[in-house]
Amino acid sequence: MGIGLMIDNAGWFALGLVLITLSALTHPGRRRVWMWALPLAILIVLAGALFPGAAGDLPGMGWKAWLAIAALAFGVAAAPWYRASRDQDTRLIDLVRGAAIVLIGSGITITLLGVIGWEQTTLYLGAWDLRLAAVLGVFIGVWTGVTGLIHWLRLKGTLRASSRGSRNQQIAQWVVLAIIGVLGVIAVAYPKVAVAPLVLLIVLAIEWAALAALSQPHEDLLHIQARHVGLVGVAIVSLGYVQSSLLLLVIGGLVVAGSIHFIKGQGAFCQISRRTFYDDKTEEDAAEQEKNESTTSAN
Amino acid sequence: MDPTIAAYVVLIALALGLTGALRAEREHCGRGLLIVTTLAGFLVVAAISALLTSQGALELVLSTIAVFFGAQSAATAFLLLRQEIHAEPADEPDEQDLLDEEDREQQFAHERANKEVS
Repeated sequence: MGIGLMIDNAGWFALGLVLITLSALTHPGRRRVWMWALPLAILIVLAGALFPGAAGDLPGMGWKAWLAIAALAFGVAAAPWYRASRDQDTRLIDLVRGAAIVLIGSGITITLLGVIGWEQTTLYLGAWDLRLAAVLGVFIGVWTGVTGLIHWLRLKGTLRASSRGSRNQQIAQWVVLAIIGVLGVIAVAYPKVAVAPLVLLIVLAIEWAALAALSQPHEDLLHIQARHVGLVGVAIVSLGYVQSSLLLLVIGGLVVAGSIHFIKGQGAFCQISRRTFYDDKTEEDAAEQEKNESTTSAN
Repeated sequence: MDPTIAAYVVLIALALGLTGALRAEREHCGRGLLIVTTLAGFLVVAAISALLTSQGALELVLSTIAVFFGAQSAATAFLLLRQEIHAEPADEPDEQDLLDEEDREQQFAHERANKEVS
């Protein structure tokens, strides 16, 4: 039984749970408890994939399953545990900083999975689609991870934002992006000579992503992070294709759709409405609201 | 996997997400982003399947690191979602309700004024 089928067996239940949860969480009147269904869905799929190995049904997979469980436990323990029930004034953990941590972790994971996929697929000359997915994964992973890291360092105060580059600099950035694309095509088409282009691609992608992330204006950070969440969705789609798992394809599509929603909808958050980070924006909003109120009272 | 099937599935999921499943109120839009960020935690499933099918020391080490960071980012995303949902005031009246209330009050005022005139 392929690993994709193993994921999908439990995945049907998880997908049903995810869809019910989505409709419950986006409905204003429902209860908060529903949010626990999302990690539960992930746990169901993980249990479906890990249980056959851990129970010893598949020879040679037992210790790998336990290694996976240990890595999972360490990863969850390493996450910053925000306490949800603190009062309003002390709830000053920045959402943007948390999102940056998410992007760093996802970026590293996607990059490593891309490298692993590359390791496994360079043997077959005909498997260009798998190589394309691997190169795409490496690029998205590096871009997302570096952007998250730069955002995190900027919020920490270690790095200072540079001013938006001149026109020539922007043209140079586009040229670098074109070179990255050409290198990717070379790596996909000629896997025998691909090591040097691939290394160069990673170096250029780091440079490109870092320069772009440094020059982004402070108030746009959340929108850029939303865009990167969409890119993570694209990476999940390509991983689902490589591992032939329908569940991952569907989840990737949903993630891309949610990120598009956010970028188009100019969403706001409840927890950062009184942050200094967003002072300018809230002041603008307040002014607008006052204007509206005065016009309505005049009526 | 057949590329046609994959394309169909992704297209359907995208359409589902864009039309129905994720359409929230305007003020819930940020929550929508955090929900899909939590969904991106399914990345850890891909990392685990890579670990289970790894063939060699290098792949094993890389996929173990991938599982670690994937689990960390998934947990962080969920905790952000939890914080956002708890930060939302529980009994906040709906904006539309407030508007309706205002309309009703104005109507009452009108009626009262009419009565006084008559």
